[in-house]
Amino acid sequence: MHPIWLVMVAALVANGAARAEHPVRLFDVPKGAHPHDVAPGPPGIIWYTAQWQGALGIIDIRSGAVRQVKLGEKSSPHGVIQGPDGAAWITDGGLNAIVRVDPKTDAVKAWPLPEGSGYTNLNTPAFDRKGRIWFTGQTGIYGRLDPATGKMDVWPAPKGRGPYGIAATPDGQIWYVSLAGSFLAKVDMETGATTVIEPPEAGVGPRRVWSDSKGRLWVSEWNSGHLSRYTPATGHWQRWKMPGEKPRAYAVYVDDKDIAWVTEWAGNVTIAFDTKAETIIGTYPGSAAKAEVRQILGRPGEVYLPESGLDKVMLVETGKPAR
Amino acid sequence: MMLLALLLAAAAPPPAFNYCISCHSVDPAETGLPAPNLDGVIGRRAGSRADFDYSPAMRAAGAGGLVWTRKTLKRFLAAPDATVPGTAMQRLPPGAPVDAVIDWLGRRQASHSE
Repeated sequence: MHPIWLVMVAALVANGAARAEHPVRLFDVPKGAHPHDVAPGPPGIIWYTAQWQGALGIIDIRSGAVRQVKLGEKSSPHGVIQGPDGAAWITDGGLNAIVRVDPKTDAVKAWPLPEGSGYTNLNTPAFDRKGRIWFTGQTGIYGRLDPATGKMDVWPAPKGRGPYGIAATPDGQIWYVSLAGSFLAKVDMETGATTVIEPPEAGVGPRRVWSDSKGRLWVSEWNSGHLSRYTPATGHWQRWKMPGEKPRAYAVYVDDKDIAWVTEWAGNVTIAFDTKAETIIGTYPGSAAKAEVRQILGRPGEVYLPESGLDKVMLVETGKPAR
Repeated sequence: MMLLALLLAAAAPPPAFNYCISCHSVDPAETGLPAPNLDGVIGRRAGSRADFDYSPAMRAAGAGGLVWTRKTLKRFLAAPDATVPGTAMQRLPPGAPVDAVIDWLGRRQASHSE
């Protein structure tokens, strides 16, 4: 039985609620690195995937120093996240493997996908509460690796190609979205089976997903330009159209204060959306044209915006007052 | 046998098409994706498929006379925003084998029109 959708759409006008922006800092990364995804590393460190240079990038926030750790020949890393062991865990499309980089020794270890998986165009990882890493592959797979045992499972995704963003809720459940399949999905943590949640409209193209503190899923809709919210307890959707003539919502991240950060590509901006007041509270332009921020992550007091088009990483200092 | 080999070559996408498949399809029945269907793209005016909601930039480029040929496709794939400023098309990695994709699209289109 399908849940009953409660769909509300609100246009976000450009000159609505009072706004203020936190200070930002910019870090240059090596030219041509194409920083795709970011993650908090150890205190004072930002990690990024240098997708076009096959490396994990490491930014020292205090000194501004940047260095890169090579991941291997043919590496083309996409997603990165910090694991419960403090290491960087990477979905590497070029290696077709899950890769771990030790935060103390820079040692690189890879877990290739099982033979027969073929090229999967690995996308994004997320950890569950049992220390298992879940991942998506755009050619139409999702999977799970238990680093403790090395056991890896790979499953075909419903509707084939498209699995993109993936996230864990505060209670440890794993959800992902399919860009081409245009759905939100919850996985059964043990069997790996997917339950498809259809968006309120066909073809919205959900690209990324993140959870707020209450376990509600926030989705960036690339095709439709909406930020949407799915509440698992009720099965209700609510959506907000991003500003602009033809907005394209690429990435979404919900910070520790339940502010949703959304990158909107047509306007080359990142939007801070207060999920409680349900209004935009800040707009952060790219540091130059075509910043192409493809993912967002952070930690208390910090939000990271990788400007893949400019070879820069922007740090929004949310721990400092907005003005 | 030679004909079969040619047909198979036309049917199977090259590995480089993996860059494209998250957003594009060549199955004419598959619509509603993040990017326009590439079935029959060569010879088509830019931004002209009725089943896709193009960016204003791409619509304007088509209205301005841009037609997808092997040459214009190659230029676009090498530098999307320089060819159609404001396009939603994303850049490919440096050295991405765009020729292989364009050649395959051409072979596929030719085999379907025979």
